[in-house]
Amino acid sequence: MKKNKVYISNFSSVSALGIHNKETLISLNNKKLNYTIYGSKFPYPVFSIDKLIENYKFESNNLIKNAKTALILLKNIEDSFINKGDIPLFVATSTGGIKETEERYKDIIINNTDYPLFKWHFFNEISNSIKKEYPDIFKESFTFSTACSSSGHSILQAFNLIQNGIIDRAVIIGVDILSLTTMIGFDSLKLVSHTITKPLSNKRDGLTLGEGGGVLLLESKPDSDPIAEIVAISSNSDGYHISSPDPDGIYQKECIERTLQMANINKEDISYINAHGTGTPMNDEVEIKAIKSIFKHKPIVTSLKGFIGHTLGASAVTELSISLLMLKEKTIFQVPDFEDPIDKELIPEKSIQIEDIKYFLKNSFGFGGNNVSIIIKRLL
Amino acid sequence: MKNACFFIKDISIINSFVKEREDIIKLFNNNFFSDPSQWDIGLHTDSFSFLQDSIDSPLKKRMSKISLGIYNVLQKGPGSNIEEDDEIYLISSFAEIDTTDQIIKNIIIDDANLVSPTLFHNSVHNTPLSYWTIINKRHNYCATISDGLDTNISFINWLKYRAQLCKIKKNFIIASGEENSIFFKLDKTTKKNIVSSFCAYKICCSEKGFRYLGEFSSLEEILKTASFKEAKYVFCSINEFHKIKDKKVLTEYPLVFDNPTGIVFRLALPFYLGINEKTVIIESHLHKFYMYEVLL
Repeated sequence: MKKNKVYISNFSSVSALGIHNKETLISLNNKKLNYTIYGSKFPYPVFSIDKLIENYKFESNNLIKNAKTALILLKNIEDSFINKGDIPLFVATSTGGIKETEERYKDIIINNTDYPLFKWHFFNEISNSIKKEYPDIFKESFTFSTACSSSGHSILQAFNLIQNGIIDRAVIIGVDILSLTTMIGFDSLKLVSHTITKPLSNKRDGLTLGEGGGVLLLESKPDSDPIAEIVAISSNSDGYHISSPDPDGIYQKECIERTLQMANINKEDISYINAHGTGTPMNDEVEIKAIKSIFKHKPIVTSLKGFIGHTLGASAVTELSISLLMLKEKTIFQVPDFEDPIDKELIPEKSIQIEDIKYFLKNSFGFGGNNVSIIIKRLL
Repeated sequence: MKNACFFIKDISIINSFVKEREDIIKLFNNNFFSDPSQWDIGLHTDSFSFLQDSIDSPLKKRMSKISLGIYNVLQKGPGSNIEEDDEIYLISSFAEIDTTDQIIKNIIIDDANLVSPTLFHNSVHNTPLSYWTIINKRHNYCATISDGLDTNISFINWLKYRAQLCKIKKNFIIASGEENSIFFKLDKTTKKNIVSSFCAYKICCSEKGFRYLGEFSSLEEILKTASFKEAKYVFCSINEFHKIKDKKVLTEYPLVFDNPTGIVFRLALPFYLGINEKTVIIESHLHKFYMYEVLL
């Protein structure tokens, strides 16, 4: 059976680097890390988008922060989907309206105040806000939530349906915001860096949380030249531990290998790997072990979490978008002052200029050993 | 999907008063699904200790009610026949909400700067499926779909697409359920009876089974269809239950009350009960209506 190709017609991201592609690229070139100390309850660095979105004008005053991020993302690529009729919307999040629940929780418990938790707390509030803004475009939506790999699943689900001719196009939105629950939760697991995250470095001491999101317009028959093609994507489960990866990385390796097989390309065709690279001692060690066991030709490996933090369920689509931007710029950016890489042959210490990279791999791993790998072919 | 049929097999439904298929058959024979006088929220108790009994792993002490419930229905239902490449989906409106609520309470009310690591890693939506893969050392594709009060419609729309992949990507497993939580009582603007109830099954391509007939603009439009007219049984949500006459009308409502995943259970009931006469399944959402027909 003939399979359709799945093209990326447009993309954007919102992160501590910027709220659109141009701003993100300027920040990458300036090599400025926009992290701040969160506050007294969590006195550690975070990559926040608060300052970047504070002056953004929304149609509605009544939006949760995740919905605001999603609407900014859609506005960024609106021209490419606005005249295309019904488009299924594949949302990914792991936080929903939790920040707003935290802000009102004391009032709800102590002062017995009315707050519509059923409406505001759960994930559908994001897609409902989008549907209100774009009632003629987004009529069907589904929210995938598999912790940090959530947006990898949104991409996978849409990819399978487009590739097999069941739908023609899809919009993928992954968003997650900073909340005390996730910040204190990760700190309780001793996974948070109290300095700043240093992914893929031997000096790494944990992750730094970030917020934001990414958006992709996927199509089988784009109107104009597409930016990239998703050639393969697969996912499996470690079946090992609820919050740690299998130390041998067997199923991360299996996931990457299966994706390569689906893509029908040689391992040597992959010139760049955008790692999940959280910056925790265990996660990075396992991921690099899996990568090295497959790729003997020394592709370049970096993590974007040094620039934007760990954006949780939004990380796969956000980092995929920023990767496309970097590769278009023919530069793989490395954070300033990066040193002592886990593997000197794979991980550059400085930003590097590159020739055209045709294929790259994006990894995304989540709690419970939920693994997703994606292979993308650059076209523009 | 309009021309394709899908069969549901290896079904398990568990709550505080249903443990085995025989329990469901007995309830059906006693007109439980069609007689509102038997519907008592008090049937849904919090006695779920039996859910731990079947799990041979020390991890069971760490699992929440929804993780235990989903584990049990997966084991009793499709678990033994799950193949390596079967995809497993959890459909849950609120997933691990009780665990999340405990964390928020610790941080906001108790002013904790750290929380239980177990509570935190248990709080993600995919946790029930992760525990199942870890205890059984399985490596299947797992994902969770969760849309709060809109989860029924998300499931209908997603299923209409995903089922079509059956011919290419084989069968898939559905697990679904909610757990009762004090969190729901904190919302005084909306009263919902959310109860702990779980189900799991396998969906496969078949010559017979359920067919999706599409979206309708009114219930009247559905009542005029040949499928509806020919049907002996109608399974519907509580919204339509009292509006449909001249048919044997049933609802899964007493099994799940206001859980927004009722359609996941409803779709499986004709198969679980072995109803051989033509059946239609109706769901409504925001003034739109959705219909399946089932012929076994």
